[in-house]
Amino acid sequence: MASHTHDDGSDGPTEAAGAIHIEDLTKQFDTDEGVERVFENVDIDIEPGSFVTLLGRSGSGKSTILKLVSGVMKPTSGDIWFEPDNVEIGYVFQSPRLLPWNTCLDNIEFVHEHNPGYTEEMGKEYLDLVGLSEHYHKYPSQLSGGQRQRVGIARALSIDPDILLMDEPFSNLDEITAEELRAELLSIWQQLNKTIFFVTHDIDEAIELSDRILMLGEGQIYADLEVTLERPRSLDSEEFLAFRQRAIDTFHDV
Amino acid sequence: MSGVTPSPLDRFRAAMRTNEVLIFAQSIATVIVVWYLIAHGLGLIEMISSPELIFAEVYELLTTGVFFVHLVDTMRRTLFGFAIGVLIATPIGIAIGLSDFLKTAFKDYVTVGLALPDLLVVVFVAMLFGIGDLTPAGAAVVLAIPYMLQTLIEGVDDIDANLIEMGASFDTSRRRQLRRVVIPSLLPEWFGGVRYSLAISWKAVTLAEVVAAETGVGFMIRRQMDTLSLTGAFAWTVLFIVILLVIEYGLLRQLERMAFSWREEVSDVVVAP
Repeated sequence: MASHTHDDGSDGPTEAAGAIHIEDLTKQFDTDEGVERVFENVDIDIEPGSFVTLLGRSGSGKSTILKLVSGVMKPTSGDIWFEPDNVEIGYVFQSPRLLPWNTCLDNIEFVHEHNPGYTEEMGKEYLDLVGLSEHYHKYPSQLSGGQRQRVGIARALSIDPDILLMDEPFSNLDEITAEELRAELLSIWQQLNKTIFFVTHDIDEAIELSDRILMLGEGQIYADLEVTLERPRSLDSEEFLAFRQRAIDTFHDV
Repeated sequence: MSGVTPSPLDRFRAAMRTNEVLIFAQSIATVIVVWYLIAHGLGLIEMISSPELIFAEVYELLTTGVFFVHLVDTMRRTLFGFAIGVLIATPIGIAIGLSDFLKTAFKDYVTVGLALPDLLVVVFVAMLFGIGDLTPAGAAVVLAIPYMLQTLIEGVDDIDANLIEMGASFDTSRRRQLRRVVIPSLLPEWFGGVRYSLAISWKAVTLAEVVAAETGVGFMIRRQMDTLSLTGAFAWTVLFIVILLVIEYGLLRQLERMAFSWREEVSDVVVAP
């Protein structure tokens, strides 16, 4: 378990980032109709501190790859390893998956079982980071969809992860809230320098956020696009639209 | 912004249409008035026992203390049987709910338990334990357990697997998952099962007291019936129902409201944009 205390003894987020290495990864499920292969021999390398997006259609296996990386699911074959070895991984889900009977602060405290140094002040610090200073003691049912997702992000960040896995975290939100949260996520990422492995089916979202876009389809990573556009990225700029067209053409090639 | 302040009479009229307690009181009052009119209008005061006769009997039962002597016996048997039933059914229900093997092995026993006629169970238990406290309490145990099991098995099925996966992704232990995810998920169903089991226990105990007891509310109702005292039977029944409602609304609903305040917040708060 990674420490939540800086070298100088102060609490709070560090700028630790981890690398992800995936080699020959295959996942298949046994179904009534036989064996269903989701993907096979997938290789991915993600640099520390980078923002990499896995783009694919629904059912292409994007979320499965994140589950395999997080360790909640076992691969059929292949290897996943991290640098350094003992990385801390935070997970932000498509729906926030908050405990409805716990307040925002208690939801954050829930994931700190192995962190005896955790204090309520630390939880508040992360809620402040995502703009929820007024909502420490509210239950999820008292929050809007966007606020609940912010709690999910604060919970993941609160373990001071080297790697942040994000599984279509904004897909259930209205576009205005989603855009707001994307901007905040970029700001937090630039501030904390975490490695982010992001999953989406939204090409614009992928281009707006990422350093690299990996396209998943037909059980393979079939394209690896480096996004060279300068930040902040305007969705209306000529460069953005040109890159978008290139990404769409590549996406439709499969 | 301008507005008209409603008069006290308007507020009272609105409350009569919306307040749950007032609506319930109106329905009781209506039943009593209709009953009174039929009894007196058709000259059936003795035959159907007019409300004022029952109230007089209720008053006597309360002032002489007879009702409380028997109520204590019934309550003791009910609470004993109910508590044993809940203690047995809770761990078994959770275990069956969590295991596909146990579910396949025992689900039909639960179905049979739910379908068993109350009187059949009471007669069997009476044959085993004879007249005394054990028969009503035993009947309550046997009849309450299947309901509790069914509720818990369904409750376990309804636990949100996404929350379990969330806990696993943050490396939380099974013990923490049980304490912070599984048990809170099950609590609303468990509490519903408890309330229902208590109601089943009251019914089982009074029925068993009718068949095999020498004290208790059920025994006293049977005595009134033996002497063809409709007024007496009604008086005991009315008092017993009042006690059940006091326990349901005065205790159980309040406990439920306190335990699940996080749910109540939903309707109380305007959700922010």
